[in-house]
Amino acid sequence: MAKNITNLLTWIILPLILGVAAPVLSGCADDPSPVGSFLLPRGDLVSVDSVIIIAGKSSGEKAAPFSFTALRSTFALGKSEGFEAWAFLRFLGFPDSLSNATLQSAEIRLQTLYHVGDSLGSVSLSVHRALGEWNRDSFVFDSLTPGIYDLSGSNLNLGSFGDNESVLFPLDTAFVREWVRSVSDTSFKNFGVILEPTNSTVIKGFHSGTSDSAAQRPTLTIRYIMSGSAQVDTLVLSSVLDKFVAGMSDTTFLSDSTLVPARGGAAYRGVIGFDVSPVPAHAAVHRAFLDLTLDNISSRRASNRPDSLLALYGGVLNPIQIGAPISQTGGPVYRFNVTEFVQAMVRGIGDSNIRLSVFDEENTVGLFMIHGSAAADPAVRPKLTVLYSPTR
Amino acid sequence: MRKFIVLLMTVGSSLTATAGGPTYSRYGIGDLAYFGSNRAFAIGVLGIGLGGDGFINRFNPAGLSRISLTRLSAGFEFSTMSLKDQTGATKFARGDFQSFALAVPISKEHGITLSAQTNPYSNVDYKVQVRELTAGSPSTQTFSGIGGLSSLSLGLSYSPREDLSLGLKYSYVYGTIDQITKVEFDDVSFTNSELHASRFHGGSVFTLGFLVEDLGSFLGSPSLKPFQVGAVISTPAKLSVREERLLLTSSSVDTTAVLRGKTDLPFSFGLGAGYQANERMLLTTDVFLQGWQGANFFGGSSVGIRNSTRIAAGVEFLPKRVPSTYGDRIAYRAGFAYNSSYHSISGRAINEWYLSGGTGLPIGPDARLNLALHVGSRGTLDGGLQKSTFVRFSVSISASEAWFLTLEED
Repeated sequence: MAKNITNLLTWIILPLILGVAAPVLSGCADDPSPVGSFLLPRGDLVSVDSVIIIAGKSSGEKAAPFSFTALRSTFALGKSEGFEAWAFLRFLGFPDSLSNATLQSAEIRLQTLYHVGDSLGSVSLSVHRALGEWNRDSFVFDSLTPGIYDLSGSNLNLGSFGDNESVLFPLDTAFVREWVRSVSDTSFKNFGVILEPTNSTVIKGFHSGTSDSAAQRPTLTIRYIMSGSAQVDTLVLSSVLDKFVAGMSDTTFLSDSTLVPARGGAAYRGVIGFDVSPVPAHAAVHRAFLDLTLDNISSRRASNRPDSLLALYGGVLNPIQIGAPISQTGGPVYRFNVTEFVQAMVRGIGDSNIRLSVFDEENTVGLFMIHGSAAADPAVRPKLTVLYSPTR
Repeated sequence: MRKFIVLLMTVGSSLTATAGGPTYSRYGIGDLAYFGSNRAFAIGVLGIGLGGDGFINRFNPAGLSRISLTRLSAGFEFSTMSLKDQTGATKFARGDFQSFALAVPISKEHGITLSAQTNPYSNVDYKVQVRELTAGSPSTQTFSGIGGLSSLSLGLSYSPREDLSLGLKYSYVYGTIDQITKVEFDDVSFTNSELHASRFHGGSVFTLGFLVEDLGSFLGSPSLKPFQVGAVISTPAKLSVREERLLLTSSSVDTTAVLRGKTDLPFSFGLGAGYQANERMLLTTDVFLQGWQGANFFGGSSVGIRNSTRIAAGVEFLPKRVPSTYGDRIAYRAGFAYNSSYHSISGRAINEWYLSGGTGLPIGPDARLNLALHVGSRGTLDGGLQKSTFVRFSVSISASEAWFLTLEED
């Protein structure tokens, strides 16, 4: 009997269950459709509201440029309208054998890339022996104290030169001799040289030691005669650590709320504050655009840099948003999609300030001046346009 | 048998394949699940007027009193439905756990049986999608609800006299209902969002039942002997509800609100009757009423809600009084149910009817594999509403073992 039941289960009932249940389960469920949507309470449908919020405050602030210690593709040197860029170079790879050589000359070659300011302005500089370490995060423009370099530098005028040109200037062989000795004698140091700008109308950008092209990298050419030899030999070093710091001694403009600065190198960043209370707390922010109007007159753009700005906000997944001009009528209007920033503000998890920096700020000294919250024309003040749906 | 267990596990493992259903479950606490037992499910009734040894009566605790051996019962329900409204048609399929119950007889002499069971109380399962022009950008808004309430119950029966059984059941009604609103924009400059509103429910309900299995004896009227009647009354309850609202975007998860409130479960009353036409055929019917009108759902008014009435009748048939073959032991069941549901949308009643049928297949000395089918319809196309036709298939096992019983020595 038990066997019969087992057979019955196996051969009749189980196939019956499978035969009925399988089509029901596999049921070919359709994708969601509008069928039944008319039954939804009208309040269930998502309605999107919009609000325009004008910046309540704006100013500037000093910050460490992005990637401050990373390998930067350019460095800058020069001075324009009170803004200075100092360059640092430290050549490496001196052979110990040069200790016994007589150094005839030393020459640094730089390859230009861009300029800010007067394109025809000449560049002059003072070459100082560096006395201390400068290749660290915290070393910024304000760190340029006399103790960091030998005040008695040699003054040079490099004249006027364009972008994408090579510039040569001599270097005191005493510096090089000390660097050569530092290879085997720790009482000698190689902190490199500091190039102080002494001109006033232009800042030049140069390819750094990270360039893939040896022709673009800074080089140090040493001419020498080995002991007991009459032949002048040449050594070209292109292994170099470089850096620049930039800024200006008068930074009172940072507290101005009429124009907001964004400048690389220094770096100066804009700080724009918004009161997002018109958006209900915890609302779903579907889109938020930040519109900023550039003041062309007071801006000083680099000759080669992308025409972009960055909006910055901490504590979110994507803290950087790129803005590009959407309108060239009057001052260009830069638009940023800051949805994520505003969502965080509405959640109350961050502050109400959006920061503004130039694109690639570690590699440029271009200046963007943006109309601020106190701009005389309300139409050019920073503006947020928020589309949201309330969640309760 | 091993093949059967493997089959059940295989089928059970696919039960998460819920995919939507009628939008009516958006209202109240969803679609109410009426489940009295696997046996009653096939007959179409709730089993308020049913007693006996071969099944666990989930609806009327007094119906437990005749259970002679420890009994276990568990089942699954699979359903498919076609939905129609003025916008078109669609179909869904889903599988749900139906019930699990254990009944342990304590004293056969006094009809004392303890039961523990878990049953679905309501189901929420819908998913609709609409295209909207939102802030000037086309968007797809998807609204879905999922979850429902379940009851975890302890029941006790007692027979003060041979023809009368009383029962008391305590049910803890609990469960989560999630409503999800998803907005997806065609324009990538927009951020999509998903809002989850999850309501966690919890509360207690008491059910009192009685069952007279021999009305003739009970009333002293022999002509009524084939009749049996039963009734159940359930107390109203206020379920504690905690609602958690969560906003999800591509970059953040934000708990936007945590709210607390109450949801009403109303007083309910049911009457059932049975007629043992002969030793092979039982006719039964029951009616069940719930006073949903005016119920409060988490502070919200009872829009789209009215009192509900469910009426059903059916028959159970055994081929032979004294079975000699396996086929003789198979129970055949059929019935009809009409449910004036507690949904009333835009002033239009949402009613449901279905035909039921099934078999109870013996799979051991005192065990049955119950198969049941419901075929019916719900709702209306009038007034822009939704009509669904459905097929529900249920498979369950009810088996007994001689646990906890002291066998008398010769």
